[in-house]
Amino acid sequence: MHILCVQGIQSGAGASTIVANVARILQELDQDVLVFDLNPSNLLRLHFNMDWQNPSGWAFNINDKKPWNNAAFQCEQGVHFLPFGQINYKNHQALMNDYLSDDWLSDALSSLDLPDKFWIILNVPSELNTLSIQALNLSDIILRIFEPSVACLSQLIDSMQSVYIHDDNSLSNKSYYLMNKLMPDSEMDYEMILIFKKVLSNKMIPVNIHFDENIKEAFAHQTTVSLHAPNSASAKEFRNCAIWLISYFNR
Amino acid sequence: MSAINPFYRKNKLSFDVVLLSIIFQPIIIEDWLVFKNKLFNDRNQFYGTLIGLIIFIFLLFFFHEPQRIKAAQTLKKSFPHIDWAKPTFADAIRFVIQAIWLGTIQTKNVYNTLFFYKKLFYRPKDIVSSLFNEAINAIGVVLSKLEHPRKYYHEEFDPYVYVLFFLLLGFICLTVPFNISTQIIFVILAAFVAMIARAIVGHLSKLILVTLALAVSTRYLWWRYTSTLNLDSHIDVFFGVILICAETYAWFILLLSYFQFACTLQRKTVPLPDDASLWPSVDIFIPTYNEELDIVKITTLAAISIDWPEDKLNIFILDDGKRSSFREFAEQVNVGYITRNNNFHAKAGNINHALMITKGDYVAIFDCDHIPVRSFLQLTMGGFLEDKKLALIQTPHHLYSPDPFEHNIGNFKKTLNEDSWLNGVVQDGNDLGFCGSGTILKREPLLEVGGIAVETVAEDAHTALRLHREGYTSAYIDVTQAARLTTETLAEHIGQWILRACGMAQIFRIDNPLLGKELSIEQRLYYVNAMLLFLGGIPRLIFLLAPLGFLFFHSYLIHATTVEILLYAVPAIVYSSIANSYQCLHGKQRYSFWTKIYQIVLAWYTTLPTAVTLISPKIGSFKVTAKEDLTKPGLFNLAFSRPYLFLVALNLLGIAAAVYRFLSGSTDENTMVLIYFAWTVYNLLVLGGAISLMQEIKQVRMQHRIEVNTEVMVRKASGHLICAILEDYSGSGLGLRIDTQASAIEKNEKIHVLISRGDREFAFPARVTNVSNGFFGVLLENLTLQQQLDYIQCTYSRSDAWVSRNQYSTHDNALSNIKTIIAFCLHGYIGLARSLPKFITKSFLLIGTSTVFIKTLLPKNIKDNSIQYENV
Amino acid sequence: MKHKENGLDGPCKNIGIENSNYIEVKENEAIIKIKKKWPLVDQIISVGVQNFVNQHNKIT
Repeated sequence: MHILCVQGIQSGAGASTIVANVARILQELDQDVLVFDLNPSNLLRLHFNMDWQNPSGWAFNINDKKPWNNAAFQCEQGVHFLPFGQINYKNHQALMNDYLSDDWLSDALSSLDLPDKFWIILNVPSELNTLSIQALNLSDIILRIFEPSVACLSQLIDSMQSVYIHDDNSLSNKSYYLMNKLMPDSEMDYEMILIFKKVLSNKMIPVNIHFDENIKEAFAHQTTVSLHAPNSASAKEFRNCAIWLISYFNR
Repeated sequence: MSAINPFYRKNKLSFDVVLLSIIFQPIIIEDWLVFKNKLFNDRNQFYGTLIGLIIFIFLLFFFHEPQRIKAAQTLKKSFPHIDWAKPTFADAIRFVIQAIWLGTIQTKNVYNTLFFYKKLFYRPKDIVSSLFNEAINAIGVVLSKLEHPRKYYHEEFDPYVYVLFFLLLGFICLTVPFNISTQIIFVILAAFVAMIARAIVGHLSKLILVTLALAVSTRYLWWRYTSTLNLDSHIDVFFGVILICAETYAWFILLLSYFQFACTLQRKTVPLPDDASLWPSVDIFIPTYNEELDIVKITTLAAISIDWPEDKLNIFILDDGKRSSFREFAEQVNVGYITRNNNFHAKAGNINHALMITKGDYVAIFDCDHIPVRSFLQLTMGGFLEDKKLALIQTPHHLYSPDPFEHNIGNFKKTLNEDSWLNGVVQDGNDLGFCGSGTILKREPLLEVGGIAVETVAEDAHTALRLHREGYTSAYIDVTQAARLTTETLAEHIGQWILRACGMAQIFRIDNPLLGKELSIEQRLYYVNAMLLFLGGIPRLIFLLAPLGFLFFHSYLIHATTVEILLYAVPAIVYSSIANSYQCLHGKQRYSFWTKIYQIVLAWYTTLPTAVTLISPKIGSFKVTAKEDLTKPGLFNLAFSRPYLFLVALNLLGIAAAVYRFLSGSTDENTMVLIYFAWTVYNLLVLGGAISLMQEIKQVRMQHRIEVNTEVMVRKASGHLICAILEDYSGSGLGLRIDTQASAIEKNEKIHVLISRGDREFAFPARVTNVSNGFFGVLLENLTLQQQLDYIQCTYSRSDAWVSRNQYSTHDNALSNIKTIIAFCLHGYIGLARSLPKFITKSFLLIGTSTVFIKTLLPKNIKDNSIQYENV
Repeated sequence: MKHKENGLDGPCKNIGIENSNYIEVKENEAIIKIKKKWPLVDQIISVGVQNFVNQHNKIT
């Protein structure tokens, strides 16, 4: 199993979008993919054309006293996904504090008994909680998403200093950084890229995702860019990103 | 009448009997004959049935779909020049010729088809060639191990002993007389050695080839001097001496260039210290006089982009034109702007004036159309820090617009245009050169010799000579780190050559490098070589006219039998051109037949001024006016090629004379006439090439677009991103290829083009000006200064912008090259024919069309991979 | 900033230029200018990176 964590450095950096798009491309490249949404915002499902009204999801199921793994879906193109489910704040707190044990996620993943070559993409919220820390520890590679903004830089430096990334080297060693929402015609972006390159150097993967109308449009159509605008530059960027991931696991 | 041949009936065996008797016993054949006679009434009936049977079988095949397709494919592949949809009568001839060709010469396909692509049988040719190749490769592998002969060199031996020994051995080898049979053996052995040498990788093979060529040509010259001089009559002496002088001259140039090659240094770039504060300060001079601002702009922006600490890099535009637009531009981009009160000594004076004002440790000079890439200084400056005596570093440049010659060839055939094979002639890849641009000089030594030399028109070579005289060294770093435009017209180009040639001549008179102090033998030889190269036109002209001496005046130029001439002269010519074309002399440049044509074009023009200057160096102004005269419009084509038309006419007369001599002369002279005839035809070919080169189609003056192939992105005003391929760029615009299905871009739409360099990316605002079939021409608009800099960095001054262009130029397939050469030479005559009176043109046209038609009849090589066994 | 893959790629390796020898002077100068322009960025970078290095040294 290839376990990939995608986490935004700050919320709104676009982690869910990247998870959905990369998953779809991996599927197109004949990989078997399971997307596991750990983000309570529960947006990931919308990329896979799930009805907005449908509250189903693994957390929702747990809350409903149903088996959590009954909430898996498969989209038309073949990507398997587990939405988080619509639950309210109180239930979410209860779930985090009472239900989830320290190794719930690893038990859950191993109970799925997936074949060797299966990709599991975990959409991890940028806030730290028991679940996200489990996910980070469990993953083979962490892809951290940032925008070229000063706020993101601040968050980035903060998280690099903070304990959870640097208490031991294992997490920082497997962390890679992906720039999202890049607008090269903005002078600020252009300058921040240089700064990020200097800070992160070889930890940045050699692909950037540009700010593109096609991505927004694709979400509005409840689909991914590779379906909505297969010839667009963003589709190509996501493809490059997926190919980089495959080669990362193959080396 | 059958009675004439009494054996008519007896001998006539029917076809089927012959065929059957190969396999079966006579009894069976008799049975068959009985059976046949019973079944068929007469022979016609039998053959009719046979043919019907065959047609039936073919029809079976024909209606069997897969078989039919396969057969059609094979036919199409084997007869590529026949249009099977509408066959004509000529196609029948083509079919027969191609069938014979496939059956006899290009047998591979037939073998493969017959034996179902399985290697059941080897063709005899294959066996021989594979054995031969194996043997040669084996020897080559062994010899490759000797690649570093230094390892086997024992230092306790005095090298002079070696030299003396080899000189003695060489002298014996070169002078011992051979009779015809031994000469044949010698030629064959030499050919064998050459083939082995080709199999070896690296420097050694080139050395072997050079040595071989040297040996063969020296033997030839020795033979000429000792046994072929004809001193019977005055006229013989006259022509004979002229020819042998020219030959000696050519041999001497060959010798010097071989020597130069053997001394070639493979200089590596020297890394700079990690600490940038230890790097020296550099002034960059961009001298300009009357060039357009657009050209200077690109160079200046590229110079600003050079990766060198800002406080140690000072750029100065040296404007002899004193134009306010340049001053404004310099202020805008914050670079120095220097003018002076007079314009004495042109470029040299301009630089010297700037030297007084500026104070950097080093001075880099770029002509205003000479664009450095950003890594230029980092890759070159290391040498200065390592070697304190080094005063001059010269780098090569890539010519990004085709020069007039290339341009004219390009009109003829586009593929020849791909790399600048003339670069090597224009600028010698040698450690001692200084070609006036793309050069870094150390300030102190330069001031010590009084700045750039102003006494001659070749200020660059003269300055280098003076530096050498003071004991400083120079280096040539063979990394293409700059690019420049070439001269626009043939006239300018020739003018430049005349200038350089005269400059060299002046140097020889004023400051002769053979005399004077402090020069090493190598350096002296280099200068002699450069000088002789410019005077090389004279022997070339002599060779063009030499056969006429025999054909017109019946003077035996070479007193030897035909066989001897063939055995001595042909190997000498072949080996020297092999050694040359193996790109060994100028590293990567092609130095072959093309160069020969090129030099013949220049020969006429450079010879006279150079000779005059050599006699009287004071006539310096003469060349400049000559240059101006030549650049006047309207003087092109005919005026330029007139001397060559004269030479063509003489050679044509020579052909006529040859035909006359062949028909009327004694029979024992015929072979000799044939030799001179062949020589004349060769000369005509070369002259045709020269004329072809000179048939100038006027270049449209514009910003040259540089072809690339990189992925970029386009951001529409709506915010959508599209993938695009950047196909070409110029200072002001880009050519993009976009998949039109992906999205619609309209004319005059405003877009951003995102170009990346390494892992940085830049957006440039642009407007679409031209839409055609997936290709979009865009014009950059409203770039800020920073964006202009970024643009130059993404395009012209990328550190790898020009590197790959020269790197992978491999020499052509010999055959195709010869084909194109001949076609190119004939092209010259076709061009000439166009300017003749109509009625002659018509007959030429007839010849032309008939040649084209005959060409279509010729067999074609089948190059389809699927038919060859090796690739299946 | 030492050169990584910027600008000088592919072909330069073939002519024996080591990438590590190349220093991107212009980029380094640009970073200094950006830091001057945006004080917040300067604070984050210099203070943050310094802390990070200190912390790293403590751990190892």
